[in-house]
Amino acid sequence: MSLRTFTSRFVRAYTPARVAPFQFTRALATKRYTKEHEWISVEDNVGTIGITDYAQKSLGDVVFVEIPSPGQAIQKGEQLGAVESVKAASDIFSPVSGDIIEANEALDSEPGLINSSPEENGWLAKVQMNESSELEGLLNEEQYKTHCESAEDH
Amino acid sequence: MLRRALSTACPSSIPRAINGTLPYLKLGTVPYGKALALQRHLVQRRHELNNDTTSSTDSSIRDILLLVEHPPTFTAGRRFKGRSELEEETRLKQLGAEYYETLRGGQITFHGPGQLVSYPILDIRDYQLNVRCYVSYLEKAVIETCRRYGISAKTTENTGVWVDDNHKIAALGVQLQRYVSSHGLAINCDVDLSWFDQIVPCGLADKRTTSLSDQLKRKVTVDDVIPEFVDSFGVTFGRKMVDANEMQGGQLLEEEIHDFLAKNEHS
Repeated sequence: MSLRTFTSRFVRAYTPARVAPFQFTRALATKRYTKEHEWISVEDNVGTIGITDYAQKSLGDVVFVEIPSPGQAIQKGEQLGAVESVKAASDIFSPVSGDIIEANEALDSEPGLINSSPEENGWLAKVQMNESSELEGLLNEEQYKTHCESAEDH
Repeated sequence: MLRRALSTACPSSIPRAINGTLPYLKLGTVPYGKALALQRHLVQRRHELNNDTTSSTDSSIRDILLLVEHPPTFTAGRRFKGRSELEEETRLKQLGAEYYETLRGGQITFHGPGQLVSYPILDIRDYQLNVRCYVSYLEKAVIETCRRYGISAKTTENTGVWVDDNHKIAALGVQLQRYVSSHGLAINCDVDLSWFDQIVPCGLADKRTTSLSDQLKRKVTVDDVIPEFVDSFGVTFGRKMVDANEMQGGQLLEEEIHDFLAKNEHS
């Protein structure tokens, strides 16, 4: 615990402080989804990543969240973190490639944010993307909704 | 199938209608590190089968239920990754056990001779189960196994399976990677229970560990329990359980697994 806190503080020193007003962020962000129920909201090539409301419901109460260390590079499809619900640790995979610039440390002390606010305060990490074209392979909101609702026939 | 997973309740009718087969494979005693490496291999294999849409009708085995026993090993759950205290690790190793940090859910537990350890490697979406319900079904499979021995086991507010509020008979801890499961559960058959005195199993002080032998006051071995557990698993998950050796493609997979175990150590 202390090691990770130390590392992330250390790394945070050169994390760009680029926090836009909240409403503004929402207005410009492009939100996409994976079939495995991760979401990514992209603004200025920075993707904020988390798990969807659908995913948190299927997990039950989250008791621990493994967040990544900022400063690392990550490839699309690599493990970005994990959420542990009752006796089950589920890996979370990055939908895009890039550099991890920030992780949501609030989840260390408050893992339940994943349940209470999965698509806002329960975000997991922010990734500076290398390949904006990777978004094209993801689902938009309509497609994701259909994916969640249908699927009995596949 | 995801529609069922979306609902908050788990599909509840047990026994479930039998829908397809699930091969199981008895591997005997396997060092913990090798079993970890094998699971990683089989999860990757399962992901590859999921991604390969061209051969959906082929006969290769997709899911498998591994049945093993481990030499004495303490394992810690995911939240301890990189945080084990060297002193504690050294103390446990000096008892003659191995020690591993793992990526499963749950806290610390013990595996050893006389304990049936089962690792289902399967895509839980094929069973119309979400993560929460999958864990619940594993518990149900253990409860059914105990019932066959006349033991009324249950779940409590603490996870695992209990014979009363203070005695735990089976431990659970799973990992899911894109809905493909690994790790699993451990049922105490005739394991030396004094090992559990060395730790606080699953982070619960004041609770005790028991075994089938301890409850029944007679020796019940892992080999005795395997057929009962396998059948209980099938009834619970709605699959016909078949020895992997008797399935088409099963011998190939078994050879692959044995080759793998012969070659690989935990990396």
